[in-house]
Amino acid sequence: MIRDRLRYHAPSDVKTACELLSTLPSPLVIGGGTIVTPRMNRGEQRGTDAVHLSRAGMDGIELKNGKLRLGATSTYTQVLGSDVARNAVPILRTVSNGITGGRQLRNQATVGGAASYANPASDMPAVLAVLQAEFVVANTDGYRSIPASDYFQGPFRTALRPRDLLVGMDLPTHDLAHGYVKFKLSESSWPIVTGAARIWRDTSGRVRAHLALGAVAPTPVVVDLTEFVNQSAAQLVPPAKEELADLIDTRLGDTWTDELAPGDYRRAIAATIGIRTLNKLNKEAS
Amino acid sequence: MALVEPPSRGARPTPGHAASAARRRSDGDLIITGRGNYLDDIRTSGVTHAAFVRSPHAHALILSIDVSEAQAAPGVLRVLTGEEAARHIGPIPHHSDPGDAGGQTRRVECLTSSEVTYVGEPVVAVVAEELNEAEAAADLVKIEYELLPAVLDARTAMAPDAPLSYTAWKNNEVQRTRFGEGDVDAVFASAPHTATDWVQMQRYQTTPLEPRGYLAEWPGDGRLVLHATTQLPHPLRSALAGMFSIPESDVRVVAPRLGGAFGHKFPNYPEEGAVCLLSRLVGAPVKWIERRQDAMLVGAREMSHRIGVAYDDDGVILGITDTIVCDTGALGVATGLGMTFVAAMTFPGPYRIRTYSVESIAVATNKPPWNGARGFGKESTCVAIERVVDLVAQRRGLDPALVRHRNLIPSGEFPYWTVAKRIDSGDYHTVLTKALELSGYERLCERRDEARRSGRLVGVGVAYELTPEGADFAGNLARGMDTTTVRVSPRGAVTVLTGVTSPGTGNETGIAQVVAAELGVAVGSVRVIQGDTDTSPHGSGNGSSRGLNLAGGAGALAARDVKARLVGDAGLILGVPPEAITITAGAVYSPRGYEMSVSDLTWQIYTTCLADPRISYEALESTRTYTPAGNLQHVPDELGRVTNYPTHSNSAHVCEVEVDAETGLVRLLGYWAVDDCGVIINPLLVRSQLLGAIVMGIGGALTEHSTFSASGALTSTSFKTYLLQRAPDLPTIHLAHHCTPSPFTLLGTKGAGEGGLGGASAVLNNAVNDALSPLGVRIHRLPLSAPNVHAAINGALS
Repeated sequence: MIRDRLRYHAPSDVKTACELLSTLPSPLVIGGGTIVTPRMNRGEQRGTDAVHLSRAGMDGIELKNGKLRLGATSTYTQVLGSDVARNAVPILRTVSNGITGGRQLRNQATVGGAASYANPASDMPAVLAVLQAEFVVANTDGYRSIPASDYFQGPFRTALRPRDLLVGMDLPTHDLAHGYVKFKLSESSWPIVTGAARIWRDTSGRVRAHLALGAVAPTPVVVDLTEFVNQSAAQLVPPAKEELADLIDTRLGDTWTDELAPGDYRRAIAATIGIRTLNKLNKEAS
Repeated sequence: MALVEPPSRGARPTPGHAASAARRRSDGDLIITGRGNYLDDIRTSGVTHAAFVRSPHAHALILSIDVSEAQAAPGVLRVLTGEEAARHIGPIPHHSDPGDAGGQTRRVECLTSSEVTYVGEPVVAVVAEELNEAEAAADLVKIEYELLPAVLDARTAMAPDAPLSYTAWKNNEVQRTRFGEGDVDAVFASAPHTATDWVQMQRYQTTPLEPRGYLAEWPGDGRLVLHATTQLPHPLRSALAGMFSIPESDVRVVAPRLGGAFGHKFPNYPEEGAVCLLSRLVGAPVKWIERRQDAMLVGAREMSHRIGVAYDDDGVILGITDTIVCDTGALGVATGLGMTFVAAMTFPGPYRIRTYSVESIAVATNKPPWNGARGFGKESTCVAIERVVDLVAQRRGLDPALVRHRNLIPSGEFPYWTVAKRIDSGDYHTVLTKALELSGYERLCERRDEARRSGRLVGVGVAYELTPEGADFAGNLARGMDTTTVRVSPRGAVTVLTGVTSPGTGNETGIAQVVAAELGVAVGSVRVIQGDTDTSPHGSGNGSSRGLNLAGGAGALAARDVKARLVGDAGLILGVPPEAITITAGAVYSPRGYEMSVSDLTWQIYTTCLADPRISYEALESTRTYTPAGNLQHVPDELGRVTNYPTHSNSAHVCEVEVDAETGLVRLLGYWAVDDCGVIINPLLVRSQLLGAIVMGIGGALTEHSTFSASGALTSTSFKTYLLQRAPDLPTIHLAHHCTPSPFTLLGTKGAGEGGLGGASAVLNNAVNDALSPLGVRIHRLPLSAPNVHAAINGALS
């Protein structure tokens, strides 16, 4: 049961929301509420005011300056229903389809909420990392952008400051192919290791490939695989598993351990999931 | 050579009962449409809410408690410490006190006042006008502890210099149970072959969809009324009467519809007495609903087996030994400890092994206590025995199914005695053969071998489960008899009142079927009332698959009494001999044909008795108590044998798995099972029970695990950290039934609430080990989760 007598706020725009966050003594930001509400029920999160973003106009999905602006309060169902998202950043559809919790959760949970919570063992960090998302953040001083490489700072820790509001994410469009694999222990399990890969042509015309592994470490591990791209065929030739394991190890510091699996296990299977992700990417490319 | 020997068949059973029918449960539509009310749906004016402050430490002394800030918090009506509670009520009675059997025991209060022995132990209770106020105030209670060394696993706890889990004890051993027959040493010394193995069952629990809850009030007439999610309302009433030193007649316990129980709702929890006391102290109804993280505290099943087997060249098992170490957590007073006894008693399972020696050691640690859990220790024994049977097959190069056929108790040998039970009936060879045929076993094995040739780790498992049911242990109130009243009202409505309760399984539908069949009325005209100690006869509620055996048996006897009255009075009224009267489908027939409806008959009886001197004025009702006494023996016979379980369901299981060698993930590809629970009254109910038990067993084998931090705090506190099986995890489960009626129960039933759980865990364990066999790897530690299997593959587990 939520212990605090919360005051409820439903700001109608980003500016009002930022003003609330800057003035309220202990605000709780609620996107879809699927993370915060259970935590409040268990007494793990306390506050004075609930700032519910559902009416703040932050759920748009649109193309903007050649990128996809994904509003922070877009639900997974909205992502799945968006033609723009499907055509521009198809990996979003792939990952949204597999969000654990079924339709009830996908109708309620938001992409921005997952990005703000930054649970290492969740779907979005690796996807947003491999996409090199730009996180659009607002506060009463204005807007700023945070690159994904700086955004995820640790388990349940991001570059957001206490009074910041994550407004949306700018994502690159029209990759050549993508792959996404989620390895979990059972249907209801958190991800144990996620793999997200993309191959794309950069502005210089060079074909590039990245692989991001989630839940292996406190933050996503991104491996640049461009050296394995056959530029003339615009095709990734995946490294051998052992070689990929070495590449991952060089980028891996601490591993992530939670209630479901130890870090050593995640490290041990990371390359396997990575190879499976790359195989998916190539399957889609073909 | 054929993989499967032909079975030796016993006498053909005579399955079925007049009541047998695949009838949908009477409240099924209500529940599936969300209209079924549960405890938390009860509306009471002026209700207040309780919250508990629980120990954050696995082992500590309480130095001081400061409740002043909590007491002053908004909405708070009362803050209760253990010291104050002990001034009002006595300790919680043990369901079965190990001290009575020479073990170590302890006094358990509803709130601990001096020494906490696990993280989550209730220390202070708060009652407030609103639940959020109670929980907020609970956060304000300040407790000063002196930390003590804690012990968190049984092996460590058994070491000579281990920290004590409870400071007043001399060591951490609670009790030992031994069973055996024959000269084990001689058999092992002379056997052509011997082998040893070990199996570690993890701690996991039952996770009913609806957690516990209590709503207590003292309406002003001096009586306590407690609505409780309990499987045993009458024993709970007696426990509360004892704690409050009031007559049982001053306590009414009502168990509303339960949303699952599985042992989790056996009584003697601290919150029961505490909620009742809070209600009396504040003079208002008090409600407490268990949170999921609290429900997850309850433990069960953490047993390790070190097992030895002696066998001959043909795979015939000559002797078996097992030492079972049971990590029971802190000693509780609910039913959990009994599982350590039953695990040993279940040996040697369904097999004709005349020489065996089993010792079960219950060890207390600083984890939360056990309560009973579906399977009740039998599932652990099943996993251990079935692993060893496979080991014998492997060592002799024989098919596991063949080795089972060579060792199962032959059908002609029932009733079959061991020192601790008399197995009532069975046709094990046929059940196993049916399961092998159902699964296409030989084809499965061929498919496995083909897969192996391409490098895949595919395994096929076989297991056989024996499930003793209908427990009757003297010394507590969960006994092996029960009482049912059948009452027919003036317009012919039939009310059945029984001491058996439903844990949410729908057993009331089966009971109604039995009574309706005996009376000759429609099932829909029979209403079954359970769970209210003011209206139902004294009984032992729900547990050990006793519903149809006992409530059905007693109901059949009572219905026969009433039927005799109806037939007799109808004969007098109609002027024909009673034996010429037939009552069926609510209609009364004489040799002349249809005469009247049953409701016309009962109306005549009620309205004309005394005036018509031929018709008795005795009430149209009967109360009967039933037990399968013919197969219960508490006093050892000349051979030292006893039997506390009158019936023995059994089942054969086959499954196919594939192990992902790179990750250790086990995928269940196919599952087949055949059970024999005796006569089936309602195939739909039996099927649902069997499916549920199998899925629970699969979960126990693969994913379910209560995990703890290094400091003893439960870390699997939600369904994201405690992984249940969901439909997409499972293949279609193919079921078939075989029936050997129990000769000792009135209806021929054996019980169908638990069977399948142990078999499922065992067959998964065997299949995964089969899958890993090309790698020369054996896995001993459950759950067979991907990290555990991966570690076994990579040699990290010894």
